[in-house]
This record gives sequence, C-alpha cells and structure tokens, in this order.
Amino acid sequence: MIPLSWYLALSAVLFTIGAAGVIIKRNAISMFMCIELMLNAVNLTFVAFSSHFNDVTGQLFVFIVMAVAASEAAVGLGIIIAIFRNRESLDVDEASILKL
Amino acid sequence: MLELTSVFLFMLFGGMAVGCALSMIVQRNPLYSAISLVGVFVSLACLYVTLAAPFIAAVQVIVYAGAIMVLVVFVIMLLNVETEVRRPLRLRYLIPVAAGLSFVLIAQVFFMLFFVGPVSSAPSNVGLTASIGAGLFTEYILPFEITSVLILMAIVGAMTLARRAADIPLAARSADSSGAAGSPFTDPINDSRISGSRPGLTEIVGREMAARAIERLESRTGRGQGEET
Amino acid sequence: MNWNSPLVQAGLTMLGINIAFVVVLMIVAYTVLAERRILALIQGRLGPNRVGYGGVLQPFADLLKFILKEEVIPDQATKFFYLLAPIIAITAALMTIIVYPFGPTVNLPFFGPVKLVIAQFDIALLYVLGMTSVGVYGIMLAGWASNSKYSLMGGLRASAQMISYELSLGLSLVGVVLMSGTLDLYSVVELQTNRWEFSPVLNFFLQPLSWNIFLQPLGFIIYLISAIAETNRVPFDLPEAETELVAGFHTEYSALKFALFFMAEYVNMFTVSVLATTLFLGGWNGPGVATFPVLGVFYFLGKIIFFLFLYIWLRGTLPRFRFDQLMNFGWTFLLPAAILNIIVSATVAYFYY
Repeated sequence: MIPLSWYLALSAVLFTIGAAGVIIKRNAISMFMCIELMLNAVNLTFVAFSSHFNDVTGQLFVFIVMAVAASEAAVGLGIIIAIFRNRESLDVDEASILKL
Repeated sequence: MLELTSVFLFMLFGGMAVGCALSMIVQRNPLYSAISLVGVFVSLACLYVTLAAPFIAAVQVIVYAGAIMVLVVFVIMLLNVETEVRRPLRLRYLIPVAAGLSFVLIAQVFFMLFFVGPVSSAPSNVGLTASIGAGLFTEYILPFEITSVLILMAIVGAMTLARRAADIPLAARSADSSGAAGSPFTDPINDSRISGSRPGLTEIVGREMAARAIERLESRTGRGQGEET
Repeated sequence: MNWNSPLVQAGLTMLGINIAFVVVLMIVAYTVLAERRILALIQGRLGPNRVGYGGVLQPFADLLKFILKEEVIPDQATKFFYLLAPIIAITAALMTIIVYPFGPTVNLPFFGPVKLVIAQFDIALLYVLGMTSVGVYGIMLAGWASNSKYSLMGGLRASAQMISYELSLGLSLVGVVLMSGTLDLYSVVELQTNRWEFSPVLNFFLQPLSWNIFLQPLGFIIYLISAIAETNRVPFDLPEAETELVAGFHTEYSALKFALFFMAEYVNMFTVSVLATTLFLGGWNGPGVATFPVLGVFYFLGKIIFFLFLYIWLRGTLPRFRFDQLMNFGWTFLLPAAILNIIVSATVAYFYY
C-alpha cells in the first residue's frame, strides 16, 4: 500500500500552496478559499494518520474541522457581503480599518 | 497488481489535488479559483476513499463541495466580483522569511519521505458510519456539543450580518448607481419596487447560510442517534 | 475463472455501471415521450404520434435533430465553463443511479445467487446526497458562463432554490435513516421486507405495510415536495420559467449541449423517483417477491413509473409558484416540518428500537 509519508508530503505541499495563496491574494474571497485549502491539507493528515493507526479519532477531528469550516463560511461570507456593500470592493487592503 | 493500482490512484488524485490547488492561486478570476478549489476537494474526497474513510469522503463532498463552495460561488456571482488587479508587492521583507520557512518545510517533507513507515493496510471498519457515530457520541461528546454551540453562534452571526445588510434599501442603491440595469443586486422580476414584501436575492443568501448551518446541526444530531441505538 | 478476484469484480461492476447508464437513458428518453403524450392527453391534444407506431421512435428522431443542429457558442461566453457546465450536470445526475438495489437476491444459472445491485456500500445514501449537491454547479456555471442576463437570473434562482430545498430533502430522509439504522440502501430495502409478523396469508397481502411510508408519512410528503423542487419541475420550475426568463440557465445553449441539460433534468427526475421508491415504498418489495424474486424488478419499475407519472400529472395540472412564495414555503413550512419529523422519529426510535 501507499506509505504514510506520501500522504504527509502531499498534505505539506497543499498546505504550502494555501499559505502562499493567503499571502499573495488581495481578494477577500480568494483569501478565504486559500484558508479552506489549508484546513483541507490538515484534514488529509488527520485521515492518513487515522488510517495508519487504525483509530477513529483522526476522522472525528476531521468531522469537527468541517463543522468549524462550515460556520466559518457562513459568518465569513456574511462579513464579505457586508464589506462589499459598504466599499464596493473586496480588496483587503482597502478594508484596513475595522469600521464600516 | 493491486499495489500498482493504489499507487496509480494516489498519483492521479494527488496530482489532481496539487494541480487544482496551483491553478487556484494562479487564477485571477475568483470564480475560476473557486472551481479549482472544488476540484481539490473532490480529489481529496477520492483520496479519503483510498484511505478507507468513506464516511469522511462523503461528508467532504457534501459539506465542502456541496455547501461551502456553492455558497462561495453564489456570493461571487451575486457580487459580480471582477478580476483581481496585480499590484506591487507589499511586505517585501517577508520574502527571506518565506524562503527560510519553505526550506524548513522541504526538509520536513524529506524527513517524512525517508523515515516514516508505511500505512498499515489491515482492513478495518474504522472509517464506516457506525464507528464514527459511536466515537462521536461517546468519547468525543464534549467537542461535538461544543461544535453545535459554535454552529448556533454562526447562525446568529450570519443572521445578524444579513439583516443589517438588508436594511439598506436595495432599490435605492441600484437606482443611483449608473449601471442599474445590469446590477446583480436587483432581480428584474422580483424587484422590491413592484411588490413591497418580496425578498431580494441578497436576503436569501443570508437565510441560506443560516439554514445550512441549521441543517448540519440537525442532521448530525439525527444521524448520530440512529447509529448509537 | 475466479469470480471473486478483485479485478474481475471491478470489471463486472464497470460493465454493470455502463449497462445501467444505457438503461436509464433509454427510460429517460421514453419518459420524455410519455410526458409529451400525457400532457397532450391532459390538454386535449394529440402529442407527437408520427414517428413510428404511435410515436415510439420520437426520442430517436429528437436525438438525431439535436445532433444535426448547429452548435452556437455566444461570443462573450466564458468558453471553458460554458462547455463544462452541461457535462457536470449530466455526470452528477447519472452517477447516483449505481447505488440503487433494483431487485432481491436471485439465482442466476452459472453465477449462483446474485444481489441485484451494482454497487453496495456503507454510505450509499450520503453518496447520493453528495452527488445531488454537486449537480448545482452545472446550473450555476451555465448561468454565469453564458454571459446573459436571463441565464444569470435563471442560474441564481435555480441555485438558490436547489440549495434551499436540498435542506428539507436531506432532513426528510433522516427519519428513514433513524428507523433503519443504516445508510446502506440495500439494507434499508431489506428491512422493509418483513417488519411485522402476521399469519402467512396476511404476510402476503399486507406486505406493503412494512414499507417505510407507513412509518414516515410526513417525511414522505416532505421528500416528495422537495424532490419536485430539487429537480426544477412544475410547480417549482421558476429557474426556467419561460414566460419570464426565456428558458433560464440554458437560454444560450443549443444542439447537444442543450440536450445534455434536458437529459440531466429527466435523469434527476428519475433518480429522485428511484430514491423515493427505495426509501419509502420498499424498493423491490411487494406481495409475492419472497416466492418469485424476479417479480421484485417489476415492482421496482412499476413504482418508479408511478412517480414519473405523478410528476407529469403535476406538470399538467398545477400553475407555477412565485419566487417569494417558493422561498417562504421552503423555509417556513417544509424545513420546520422536516425538523419536527426528525424529533418525533428520534423519540420513537429511541424507545422502540
């Protein structure tokens, strides 16, 4: 079967791409998506370890991470819509003050 | 032969995941990024299946591809987000830091590739629905309940945000902007000017987010109890 | 030849999937014909009856027409997504059909006992729900990529409607899952075989009493309504309301690309009918299946045809909702009702199972 290390390496690559995206992107929605990618990279590690140690805990954590990501999406997109309505732009550089 | 098949599957879906992820950060149009991210999610779900975690794979598709990204795409289409403009880099001093950190990461990957053992592939029922339900409702009941409280907070938060946004009269906003006819804020058929009480599409987005969260909360409670009994 | 080797099994499954696709597409083609004929009957017309005897070859004539039509791609369309959207729609629609059990275990010559299901796995129901939710992308992308106002409005409406009604659809199924204790559709159907014990004669005639519909009447009604909305059919066909939006998200589509959307709609209609049959009407169960297993396949098909007829009948009878009525109905009636159903089912399941 596939060595565990392959999954870990894949996860590391995905996480790096996500982190790079958060730094490179200026658009709030794109940054949000990069964060989701990072969460997913971590999920992959959890599932790989769960399968490696034959223990369900890792998968339960993934489940909870998904729930957190879902609530993050609900609130985050609400905030993004509110920002867009006030500034007509999603550029995070323009939203540098915490005031609408 | 089976060995080869699993290597092939890993390469296929792993490659797809990395390719889609790269395409996500290279694309300038947010909608292209979003669709690439859906590709990442789906290929990760396939990887979960090869890792004998079918339940997580299904939930990955339902929650990430089916709920979160649909909302994201919906918002992108609704706000009609234009293509990003490339600007000169800020925070230039971070470049050496990034180089250093990526070197550490590459070192870690090499360490993992050479020193970590193989996945034990004993067939198990760890990834099946029943075992996940049992784990979630016995040992990990506290994190589960805390998550439900978190989701409740998200519902309230989304409702609050959406409601404040809905206070601004949509018709007034789009009327004074120049491209009123093409503005995505007004549904020409369901314009609030025609009938006072009809909800606009933006209001529906808010409700949707809240109700998505409700669904997740409810269905989780329901399914879990079914497995426990 | 070793029938149990994984590779042979994989090959057989592939074969089964392809056969299932062909069969479903044939059924879908004739559903379209049946719809046109039955609608004509309801409206006092004749309907297509020229090609073949009574119009039996009409679907093939239509297919030929679609193939021969000119492919028009709008100038300002985003070409990649414009072409991708119908593919996503039809793929997501077709992929769910492999998990449904269409008959009991039968004894085939040379093979021995065979379960009449293509793929049986632990999370079949979740798989169906996941594929249904992926199908929304086809419609959203079609609306966006066509770069037309009608398409965008249709796409936005369709996606808003589909995500809204997906909630009540998913929640209405939780009751059945609670009663069955499994997400595996084959086991769900098997559990509906002999739920109650009567005398042998009564067991024969009262077999339908074992079906989940009698345990989950509210869930069934909620499922039926949200399934109609989920497939964008009348009275919930706002996304393609031809009087307001020309044709909704597929306004700019022509020739085979339109045919793919058209087929996806009918395949979706077929799959929600199959899901209703499997979960609520006992799948292949019915009087006499215990003695003649092959009868199960016909019961299964009969129940599906009943649902398809119901769809067509509704289309001929009901007027269209308004968008706010649709949303209000979904959020303020169907969703609370589904949650109530879950609470009641969970309580009952806790005390009686």
